[in-house]
Amino acid sequence: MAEPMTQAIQKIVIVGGGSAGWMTAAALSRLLTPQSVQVTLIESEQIGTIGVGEATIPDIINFNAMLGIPEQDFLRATNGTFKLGIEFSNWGRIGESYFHPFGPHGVDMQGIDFHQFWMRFQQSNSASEIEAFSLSALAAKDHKFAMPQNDPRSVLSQLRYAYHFDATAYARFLRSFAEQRGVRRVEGKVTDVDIDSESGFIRTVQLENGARIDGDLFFDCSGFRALLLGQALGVEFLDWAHWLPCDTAQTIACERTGPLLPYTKSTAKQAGWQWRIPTQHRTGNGHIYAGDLIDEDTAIASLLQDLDGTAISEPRKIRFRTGHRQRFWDKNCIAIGLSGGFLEPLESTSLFLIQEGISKFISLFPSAEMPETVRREYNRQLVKKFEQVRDFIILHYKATQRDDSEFWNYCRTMSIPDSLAEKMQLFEEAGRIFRYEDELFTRPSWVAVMIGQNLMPRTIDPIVANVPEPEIVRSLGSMKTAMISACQKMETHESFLKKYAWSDSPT
Amino acid sequence: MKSSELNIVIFGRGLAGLMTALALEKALGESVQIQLVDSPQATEDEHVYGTVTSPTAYEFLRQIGLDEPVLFSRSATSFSFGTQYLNWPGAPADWVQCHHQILPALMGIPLQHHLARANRSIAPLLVSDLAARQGKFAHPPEDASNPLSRAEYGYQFASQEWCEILRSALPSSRIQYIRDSQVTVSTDAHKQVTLTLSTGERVAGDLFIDCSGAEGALMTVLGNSFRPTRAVKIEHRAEDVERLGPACRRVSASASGWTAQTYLQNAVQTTLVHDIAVAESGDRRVFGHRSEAWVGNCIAIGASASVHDPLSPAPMIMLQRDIERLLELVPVGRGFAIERREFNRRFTNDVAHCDMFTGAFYETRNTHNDSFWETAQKVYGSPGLERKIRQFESRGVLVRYDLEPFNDEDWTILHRGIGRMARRFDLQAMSVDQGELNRQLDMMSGAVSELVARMPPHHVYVANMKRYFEKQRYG
Repeated sequence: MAEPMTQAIQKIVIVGGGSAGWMTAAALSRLLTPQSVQVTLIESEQIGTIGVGEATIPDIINFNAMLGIPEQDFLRATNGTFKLGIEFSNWGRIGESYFHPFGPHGVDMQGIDFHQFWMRFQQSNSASEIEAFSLSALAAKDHKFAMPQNDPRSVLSQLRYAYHFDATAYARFLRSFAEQRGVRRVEGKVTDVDIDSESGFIRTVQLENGARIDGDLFFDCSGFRALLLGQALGVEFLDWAHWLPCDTAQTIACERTGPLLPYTKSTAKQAGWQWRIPTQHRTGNGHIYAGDLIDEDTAIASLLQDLDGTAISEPRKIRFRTGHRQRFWDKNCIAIGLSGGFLEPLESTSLFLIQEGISKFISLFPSAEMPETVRREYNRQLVKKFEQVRDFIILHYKATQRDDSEFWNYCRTMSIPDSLAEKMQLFEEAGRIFRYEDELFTRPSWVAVMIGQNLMPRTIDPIVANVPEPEIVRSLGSMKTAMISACQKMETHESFLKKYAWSDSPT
Repeated sequence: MKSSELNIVIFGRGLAGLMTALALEKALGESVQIQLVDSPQATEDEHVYGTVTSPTAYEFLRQIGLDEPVLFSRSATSFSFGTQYLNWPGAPADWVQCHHQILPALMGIPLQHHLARANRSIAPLLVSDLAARQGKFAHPPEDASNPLSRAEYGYQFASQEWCEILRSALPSSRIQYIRDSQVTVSTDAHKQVTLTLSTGERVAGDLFIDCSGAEGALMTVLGNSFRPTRAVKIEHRAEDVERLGPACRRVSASASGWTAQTYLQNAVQTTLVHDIAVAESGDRRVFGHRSEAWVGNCIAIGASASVHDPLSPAPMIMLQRDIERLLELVPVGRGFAIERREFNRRFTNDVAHCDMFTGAFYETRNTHNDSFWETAQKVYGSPGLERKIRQFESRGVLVRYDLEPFNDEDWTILHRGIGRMARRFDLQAMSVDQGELNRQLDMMSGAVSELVARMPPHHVYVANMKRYFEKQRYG
């Protein structure tokens, strides 16, 4: 007879708070009872967290649902807003912009991808833009929002959304969730790690005040320092800087002005890019750049110059390294969050990668001996996810025609991973896109970025070329009409949110 | 951006050649010129694709003109909810490898974890399993509240009959048919194939499709070697019957191999697959695949690319996938390099995935100590399969690879059928109350057995359906 997987592990220790630590703690507390497994989280108020205005992808909804958190409570507690996608400006060329929507473009017909029909349509309607067939993009441009419908016949079923929110408030919210479910929080700084000389497993961590905390399993959520996996266990870091040369961010919050946008903005700059993330009462901004190409003062000046409202904090500098640890799970230690790896937030994947780290762990929940087969499977899956996200992010830098700075000249001409090169070639030839192993970013995402950055296929798919043009014009026309009319009926994002989950206290 | 006209030459007019020709013609219309070359060198073994299809065949066949009114009135085709495996080595009992839609998840947790926790079998929850055992059939309805809507079906068929229907369906105005007793195949240093007829005339083409069966006449000339997996003896017998049998093929194992019975409208087709050293009669068949399916200007489709064990519907699945892959990658330039690379990448994956599924049948614990079973276990063992089995056995995790032809349901049913149990189940399953879980599972299996009791026998259903088709046609 099969048995549950709870028997052996009795003590789990999480080192570090922040989004990674508290998301891990909350998920574990939802699944484990304090009687069977004791979960302890160690954090120090002296150590800051990276948390800034955070943008996400739709998968975060599943995470909250798994915890059983009502959406409205979550949005109020974190000053959250809705996000229908990302607007990218100046990426392909200066002066151009495009929208990467959550949710599809148009409707596939006869088993053939919609974008093929659109490319055919565009041959004789050269002004047509593919995002005119995305309800998410249309609504975003009108600053509107509506809840997606499940009924596949409704055009509203094409909407997908994620959130923007205050990550520090989210960590606080999850902390109270986890503590109510028996997670023990210990205030303190880890100063020493005790490793079993025979097995190489971590046995205890020692705090500044001398206290020792032992555990069967340790989560390293200590951020870039990677106290356990990096420093104590010495797992090497695999550096991707040659593909993603940005290594510094300057972040700042400013007052929110104008209508409440239901999307993230990403604007490419001389040696990097700047984000704008609207939460309910303020806007989070960050300038990510290659530190060896522009100096700090220039970077900050550029950040401040492009704020929509008055700054309400001082610029904060974050240095980072792009890449990941060769193993996310080594011995009895799993790195979740920045300690495991980092990819710039260009496609808002930071929290997603944390979530993946947690959910893959849950699906492989080990016994105390941590069998090698489980670790290997975990590492394999996580490495794959990082590589898939990496390829998609590199695409934004590679598929550019910009030649106005050293940074863009480098990106445009750099060599890229084979996996990405093959994808780009297949698309450039006849707009073909195929899904690779359990990929996070699906076809509409690749289409949006490739077409948005002017990677137009040389020819269209011969099967679509065979469909009579009037048929295509008619189908696309009726799709567009349905979307425009659905969009007109939507409320503005701001009025929807004010009724749905408005927070009166800017945190 | 305009695609120029492409001239395609198909070598062979067996099932692979005919299906490829019709699929290309329907999809590409005027933008393609198709020539079908028939010659004695390009004769496919009519049995090489087995006798069953998977559920994906329905849509594919419909698109090339083989819809159900045609299939059932012009051939002895019948329905297939799956295959029942009897006396399978290592399996605790007989099981039906049935076709079924996505299994429901309770509380977002895959059903198999709940079943492992409650120590219950999956079969009573599968409507296509029970109907197959009881010889019942009806079309799955659209209405999602009806448990039958979750069943899926393929066909039991005789390849020769399908070839005849397809031959008569070839539009002679669009597909040029060339018959020649002696075609010369040659190739140059750039792996460009040329076909020369006995008259000395060359068949002009941009792209050549090798549909010449396991011999792979064009592939062989191109030096694209066949990599054998294993050889067996195969024998076929047909016996006429009055009444159509169940909507389910039956396979029973013995020490030296296995025997399949396929139930067609007018006959029972018996296929014997046996150890090459033991069997006295039968034809030798070698399973395996070419190292690449697209070389130079030539693409192998069907048996010329890969030959599969007919234990599962893999042979038909591969044929269909070969054609669909071709449609997705019809070349648009003259270089072919980009399409060729992607085509070969996916071909290699498809072969590996079919082999994993076949291998999972033979990877049994108490296998017979006979060379048939031992060899199978040895040749199909791979790290990918080992990972699938290990992860399932250790904790019920279904490992997935890219674009697999067999889905999670096929794998779950196979693992459970063959007696693989997850030693541990997902912790999240504990969040469902045990009593409530049992009530829900009882309700599901109760609904299934109630419904199957009301379904008509397969033969009655098919007879009524044919009368209905007739009335539609003449009424």
